Amino acid sequence: MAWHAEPTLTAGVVYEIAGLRFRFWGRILGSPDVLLEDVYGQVKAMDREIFAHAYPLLASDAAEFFEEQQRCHKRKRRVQSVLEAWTAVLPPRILNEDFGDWVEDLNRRLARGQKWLVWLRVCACVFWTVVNSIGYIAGKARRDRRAI
Amino acid sequence: MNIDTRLALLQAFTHGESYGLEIIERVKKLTNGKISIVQGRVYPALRQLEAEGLLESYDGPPLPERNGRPRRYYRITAAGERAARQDARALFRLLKPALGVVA
Repeated sequence: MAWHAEPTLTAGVVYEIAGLRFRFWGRILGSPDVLLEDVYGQVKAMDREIFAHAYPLLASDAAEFFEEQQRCHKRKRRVQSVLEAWTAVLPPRILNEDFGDWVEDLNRRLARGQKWLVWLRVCACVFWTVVNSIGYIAGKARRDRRAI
Repeated sequence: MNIDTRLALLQAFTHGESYGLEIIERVKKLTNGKISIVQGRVYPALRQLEAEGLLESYDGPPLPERNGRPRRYYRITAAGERAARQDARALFRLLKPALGVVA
């Protein structure tokens, strides 16, 4: 095939041509080596030359991908430890509804690889859950007093 | 709750039940991004509409993406649908000249 001789063959092109699902496998398999071995096993014999040609690119891309995954995990753990400390003081309704939605949104953003914006959202979460908890408790007290 | 939040939420719930995060997206989509509700302000508005009997809510199953917390789903009541229709009619009357609609 003509593109064999392409000097600027990128890993992205190789994934496409060999029909690889790099990111999908990356989530299932635990390390760059296991990932690349598995990918190699699934490449057709005629495509192995292309794979070998692109191996350095794939290896560095895989390593970068896994490093980013690890950074994401660390960030997620840190965000969750900050948020979980916060849950002790929230009323159950706010905890399930407001706070649950914030957590869902933050998890989506973390999965997308967002960094600073996640911490801004954590601050927004703390602010709004305080404001809404005060409003909720005051409203409930008003309703209870009216019921008496 | 201001009038456009109330109006937007009630109209959005006529398309089916939903929860806080999703209803924000639905309002944004239905209004082509013209009305955007701040996440922190949507919950008191939903609770107020529920207290007025225009919405009713229930807890869904616990979900792992919410660290094991359930979603609170809201759906419009018959009174809510009536209020949404009345609001829509009032708004239509207001906008009729701008839309160039002949009575």
